Amino acid sequence: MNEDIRDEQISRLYREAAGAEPPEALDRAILAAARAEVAPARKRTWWWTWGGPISVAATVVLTVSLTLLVRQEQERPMSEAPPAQSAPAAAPQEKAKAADLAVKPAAPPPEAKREAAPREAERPPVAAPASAAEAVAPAPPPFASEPKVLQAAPAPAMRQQAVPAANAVELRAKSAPLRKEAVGAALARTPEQWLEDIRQLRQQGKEKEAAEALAEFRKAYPDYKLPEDLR
Amino acid sequence: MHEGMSDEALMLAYRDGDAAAFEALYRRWRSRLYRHLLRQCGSAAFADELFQDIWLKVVNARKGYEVAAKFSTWLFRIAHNRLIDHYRRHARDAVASYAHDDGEDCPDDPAEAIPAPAAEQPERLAERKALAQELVKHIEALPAAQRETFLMSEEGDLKLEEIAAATGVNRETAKSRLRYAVNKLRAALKDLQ
Repeated sequence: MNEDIRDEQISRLYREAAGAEPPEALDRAILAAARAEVAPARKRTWWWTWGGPISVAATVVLTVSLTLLVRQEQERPMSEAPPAQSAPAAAPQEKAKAADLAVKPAAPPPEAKREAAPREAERPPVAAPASAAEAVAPAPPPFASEPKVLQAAPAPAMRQQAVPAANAVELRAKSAPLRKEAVGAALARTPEQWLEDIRQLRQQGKEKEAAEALAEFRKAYPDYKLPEDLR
Repeated sequence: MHEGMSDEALMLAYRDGDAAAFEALYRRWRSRLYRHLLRQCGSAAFADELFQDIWLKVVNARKGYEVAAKFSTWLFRIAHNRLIDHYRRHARDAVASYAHDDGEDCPDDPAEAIPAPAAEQPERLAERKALAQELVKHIEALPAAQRETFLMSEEGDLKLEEIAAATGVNRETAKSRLRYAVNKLRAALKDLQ
């Protein structure tokens, strides 16, 4: 200590006088603050404990809800939208009639429809055709690279594509000199079915009939890309 | 449980979440720090305020506490800084007095020449209580820096090096302040006796 400087008598006398103590209220306040400083580390709040799991659960619920909502929105045009939308030039009543004629024989079972919906949704959006001729031209067969068995049995989505084509055919029946049989045949079957009939004619050796039918087909579907075996 | 532990070990235990360690530490230092403050500012109300502020600073420094010095040195350094703030706020004259009161500016202080008191005389023992009260008054009348140095030595049991560290001066300045303070108190006691 500071022995060389300190005066023992002064120190002793000072200690005798030094009786002052801090008030008890101060003691309590300081000790309470000290305990409170330590307490929060041990006692976790409700949000601190459950905040993480609740946030994760809320995120999952939100994601699932949005996914279902988007899926429903994608399915709605397939099932609710009028089929005549893709052929705006045609009269509404005639289009509905033609659609009925074209869709009814080729209407897929409900299961197939449901399967077809996602495929339709996956395709990039195509601008609506500006004229009936454009509407007639179908898109390239979506399963062109698949085996012929698949091509012979068109998917439900393809059958639905025939609807605008049938509408266009009916229009042509009014404006162009098509035979009623051809129109009836066109309305009754899809282009794929028609081509399959032509193939069968060829297989049966009926080359003339097959050529005529192919000519009819070309008139009905001038922009349709014919398969290799029928060119 | 905490009796044998050093101040520093208690503070480390408190840092790690042991509230009882702080309580033990507080019990050790509460009276001495309080008296130190009371003698420094001369008012119980101010002493209470400073006392609480200083201990709350200790509490708030819990998480970052490392043993860089003796706990008492650290505690009295906090007290020193808090007192300077107090002087600035309440008594500008005291700050000026503190800043220019290193002892060197009064080398011809007559107290320097006063010898240490002789052996304690039995006849004065009855008067000790009154004498002690007078001593406190003289301590409170010391220049701020000398008073602080004296109280750190008496209440904190700090060595000159520790006083120097707590007050931010070199050892020789601390020694000079303490010497002047003791000599002045000796002179005052001599007058009273």
